[in-house]
Amino acid sequence: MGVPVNVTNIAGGGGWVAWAQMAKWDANKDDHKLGVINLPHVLSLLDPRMKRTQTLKSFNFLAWHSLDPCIWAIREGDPRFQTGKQFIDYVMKNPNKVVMSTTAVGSDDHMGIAYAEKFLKGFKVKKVYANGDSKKIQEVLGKHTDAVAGNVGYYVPYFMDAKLKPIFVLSLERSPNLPSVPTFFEVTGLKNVSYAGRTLATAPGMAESKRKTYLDAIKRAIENPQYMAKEAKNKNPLLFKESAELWKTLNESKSMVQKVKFWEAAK
Amino acid sequence: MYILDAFSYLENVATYQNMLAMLIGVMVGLVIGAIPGLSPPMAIALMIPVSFNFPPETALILLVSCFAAGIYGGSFSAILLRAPGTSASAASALEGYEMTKRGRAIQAIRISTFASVIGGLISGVVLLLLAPPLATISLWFGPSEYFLVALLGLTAIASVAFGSLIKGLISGLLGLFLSTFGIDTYSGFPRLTFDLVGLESGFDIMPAIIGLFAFAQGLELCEGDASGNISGVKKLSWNIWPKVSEIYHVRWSLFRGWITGLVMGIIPAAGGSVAQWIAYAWEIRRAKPGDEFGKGEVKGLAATEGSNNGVTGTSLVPMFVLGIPGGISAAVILGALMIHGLQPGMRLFKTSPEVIYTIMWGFLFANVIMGFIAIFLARAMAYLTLFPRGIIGPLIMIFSVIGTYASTNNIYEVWIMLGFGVGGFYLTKLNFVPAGILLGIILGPIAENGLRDLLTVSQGSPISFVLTRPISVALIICIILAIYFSLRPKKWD
Repeated sequence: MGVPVNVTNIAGGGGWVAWAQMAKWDANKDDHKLGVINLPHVLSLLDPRMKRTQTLKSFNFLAWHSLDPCIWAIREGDPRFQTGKQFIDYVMKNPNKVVMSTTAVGSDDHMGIAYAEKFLKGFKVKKVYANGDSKKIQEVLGKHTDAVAGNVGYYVPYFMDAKLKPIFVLSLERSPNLPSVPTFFEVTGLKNVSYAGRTLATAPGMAESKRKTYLDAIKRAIENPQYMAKEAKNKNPLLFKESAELWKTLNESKSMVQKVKFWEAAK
Repeated sequence: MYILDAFSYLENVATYQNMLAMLIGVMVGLVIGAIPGLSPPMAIALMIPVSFNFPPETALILLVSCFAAGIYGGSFSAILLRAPGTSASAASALEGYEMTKRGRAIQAIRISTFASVIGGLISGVVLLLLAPPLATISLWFGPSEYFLVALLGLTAIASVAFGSLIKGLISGLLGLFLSTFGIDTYSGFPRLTFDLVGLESGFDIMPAIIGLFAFAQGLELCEGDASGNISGVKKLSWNIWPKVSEIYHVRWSLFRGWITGLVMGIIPAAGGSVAQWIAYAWEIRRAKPGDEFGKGEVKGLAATEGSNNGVTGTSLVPMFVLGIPGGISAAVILGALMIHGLQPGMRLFKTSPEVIYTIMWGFLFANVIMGFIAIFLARAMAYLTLFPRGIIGPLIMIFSVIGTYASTNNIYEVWIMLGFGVGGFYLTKLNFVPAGILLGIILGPIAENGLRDLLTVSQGSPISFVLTRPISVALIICIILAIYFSLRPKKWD
């Protein structure tokens, strides 16, 4: 758009301090603002314990920006399991003995584990929670836990360093960054799909002409070869979606969360 | 092998771009670190866009220089105004400010500068020469060790409770209680949030520090004679170069501070804010007749200042070698490393040794530059202690509000800071211990999560699990000794 962008990080509430403000943005006064909304974290609005007043419709979603699938990984050389199949078999034979490091309840990483525990009969693991990936990686590399749930983009360097070994990608198709790693669906037949998604939104009720200006600019930026190369180098998988396609993915994500009901799994 | 590699890249650091990067990084770090609320991670994040114009090694030298200087810069405001610029300098406010109040501000700055520069240099040398083996050691720290490190830190409450042990313990318990606010990581349940979105993350450390120390200090300065100054003297000594005799007097305190910093640095997530309190409590427990802890004891300041810069280099060890950032600053540096196309890990030492070792040398040189700049900056900053209290007090309160908002862009945090400030002001008058509250807030989450993780990984048998781990057993012995030395009656009492 030819104007400088001023980035403001609003901390607090796992994103909800900012998102609560975004849902109240004024279409005229705040028409210069764009916000980032993360999936599935924003879907904690479905958790009845949080008593959120917002719904997905409270936000004026513009575009889907990127989608980084979840993966499960183990230590290289673990004598108990080296493949996804062996891991599942071991957990089934030793329920609640294997410990997985994951991000906090309600995160994409936790959602994948909660789905497996709910729909894969006999699959029960213990979970150690963290608020970031560093703690998780330290735990699994230090042999304090047995496996880790994370995202492809963040973990590829550890696979390249041959310290961790990916066993599943939690998507229906294999990740281009890890083509040799099977999906959870391939191994178990269960559609366990979990990812970290990033979307962009603007003020609710904004005039369509202004909305279109933003959307065109975002599309141009995401399709810029230089930007694409930079994101590819950082293993951040870009994915541009708008309008009906965008809402289809949002609703799929919502259905998944409603199906898993992580707040019940956390009890 | 690593040692030989390290020396072969020494000459790379001596380019004018790298020197300029160090100079800019140190100056930005010192200024931002000195302003309460504006922390080293923020200084590093501000410098990332600037770093895009430099080659990777120069860019990272800029950022690590900012980091080292930011930690030291936080001590200026802690010592001179009792308004810590960073969480890693909070403990320095206790003895440092008492020295300032007694007209010994320049001596405090001298000791702080010496302890920080040499601590940073030692830490840098350890980073340069021993990073790969130390990173392996950092992996030995698991849930039981984190829980026990937090307990060891909590024993410091008994030491910093000058006057009333009971009130000190109540302050610590209050801090621990406050640390339970927010969404529980293990269940996702909003604990004590009262349906307020601003409380969902609980109480962050920075608003608590700014409130309990800086804002409360601003209120205190507004009391009484507005024309008087903090230091109680009209002129300050300008003898800023450390004296051999005073360094000799605190030599063992410095040594203990540096060692504490080096060890705590390699433990991811422990960092300077924990190291300072452990080092400070260690000094108090070793107090001798004549030592005046709580009233401006230079040994206490030497230990806290040595420890927080002793942390800086070793906290980068797990980040460079394993890709595990040891704290927020290291996490921001890790992000910058990746933006510049470098993937952390042992591969980096094999594929781009010239980059990694140049950065490490840059960190070392930045500490030297920091020392020289700091000495001149300290002279200017020490003037603040000669200003009338009626001007400094309101200024501290204004900067507390600006700093809190600037660091989070979240108005809830400003209210929380004000709550801590007013609460801290009155609690101090009642002889409660703000440092105890702060220790509870810092260490509460580490202890709680460590214990819950321990119960999970030990499959329900935590005691037998802990007793099989050598580091845990060593920590238990340290805790027992710490409690013993804190509670035993002293002959001169």
